[in-house]
Amino acid sequence: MSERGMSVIASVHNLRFGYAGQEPILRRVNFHVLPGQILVICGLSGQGKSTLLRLLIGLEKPDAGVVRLLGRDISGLNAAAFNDLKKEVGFVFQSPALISNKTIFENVALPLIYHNIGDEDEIRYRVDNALEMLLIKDHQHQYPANVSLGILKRAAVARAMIMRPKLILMDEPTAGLDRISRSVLLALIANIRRINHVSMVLVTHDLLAARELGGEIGVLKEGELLQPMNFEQLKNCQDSFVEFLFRQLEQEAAMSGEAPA
Amino acid sequence: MTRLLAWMGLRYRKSYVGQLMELGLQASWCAVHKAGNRRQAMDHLISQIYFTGVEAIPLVAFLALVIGSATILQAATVMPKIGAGDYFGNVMVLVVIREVGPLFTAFLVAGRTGSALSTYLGNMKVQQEIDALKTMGIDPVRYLVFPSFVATMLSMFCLTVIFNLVAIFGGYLVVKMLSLFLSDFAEVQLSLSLFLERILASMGVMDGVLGIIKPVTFGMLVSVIACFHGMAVTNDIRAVPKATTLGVVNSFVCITLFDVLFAVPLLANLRIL
Repeated sequence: MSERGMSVIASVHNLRFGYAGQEPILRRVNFHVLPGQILVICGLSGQGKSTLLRLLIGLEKPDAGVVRLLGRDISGLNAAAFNDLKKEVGFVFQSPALISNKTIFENVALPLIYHNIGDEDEIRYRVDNALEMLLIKDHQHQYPANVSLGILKRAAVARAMIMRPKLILMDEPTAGLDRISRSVLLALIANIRRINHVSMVLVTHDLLAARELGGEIGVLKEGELLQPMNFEQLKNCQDSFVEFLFRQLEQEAAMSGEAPA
Repeated sequence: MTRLLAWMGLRYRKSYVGQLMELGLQASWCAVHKAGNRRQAMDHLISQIYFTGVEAIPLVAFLALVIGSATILQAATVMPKIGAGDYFGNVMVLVVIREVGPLFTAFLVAGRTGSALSTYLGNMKVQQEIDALKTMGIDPVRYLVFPSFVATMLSMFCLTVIFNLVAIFGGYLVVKMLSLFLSDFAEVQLSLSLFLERILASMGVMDGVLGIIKPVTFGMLVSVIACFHGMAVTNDIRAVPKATTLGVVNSFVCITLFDVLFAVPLLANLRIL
């Protein structure tokens, strides 16, 4: 279970999945994530990017293949053991999925309280730190319905990192955000990764976000993940689908008046 | 044979009743197997009891007053005319304590708490809040269903007791007041001591036992059915009102069915009138 002498944080081997009564959306997906590594999974809508993350955290069960988190095959874990393992993994949903009848502070503190981690003072200290890091401390007493999407996304990231996980999975963290909020969030995510040395698997259709975060980019194409590579390597890749993605990116940049990638 | 039993077991588990039972057992298991934060669970329990029990008291009391008055009025005026005046106490016990009290309270809780629970959980499911709990290693049954399960059972029991007391004493007072002010009811002559004496004389041990078991069972049914339909919602907002309606209707059907089942031991004891 080691890659280049380092323990693998997450790995997926020959993963296959299809929703009931439909063609498999993921056919043969393979990848691994090393400590501190960021893997960005790109692809078009409906290619199974979010489904792949749901499979990684056990929200869906694969038809075939193996998912290993922190060296453990998740299919062999009972509910209690898997819940214990999830303390080491943070998850950020595309819709922020904060509990609507709890304040931002309570949402971020929720996993700490439920898992009896630390006393009241320690919980407050850790939550305050996380909120400060994500620049949302001023909103801690507000309910999710009363704040903007940008704040909600940052609160979701704070909740995902509050348990000091080894791996954070993020589903389209920048979707629906304006340009400034998007840049701020990406900078904050990069900051969290740098300070906490946490591994990340990030799903997005936004190639520019993938470039800003650095790390390796894997493109999901027809149910398979192309070999992850950095942005420059990907740009020079001869694959027709990757070329199509870059053409799309250039068109979007031209429409918004930005310099192309 | 083993295969057949396994197949039947699987079929049963996948059936509606099987899934309800599974959820009920999971929620009951949470009472035995301690996990999570107790203080957090207690906070949820208290807020659920406040919503299901305390906030429903005025509604239950009003309904009990109306039904109690009507029953007492009918029993006190009509029954002596048909020569059944001696059975007045039996009618009160049969109608209010055995049937209408637990049944109406359960319908009210199903309509109020059951629908709220299904809608709440359904919306949480649509907004991926339940999935979010799972990703944090939080068991949604322990965190969401268990407090509702316990709170609904406790509240149902307390509300039924309140219903019975208000129906009997409040109903008596209303009828007494009517007999004072309206000439049509002047013929109603019933002293409080005689009224209570007849009711107490008509009550048996089984009424006491079922008085506890019935509301608790109804509360369990309401919470499990409501939570099941709420959590069964797919990621489609249109499914929430459907789940709520189905939860309430199925609760009504199950409550009525169990009410008939509870009548069996009473009939077996020949304690009908």
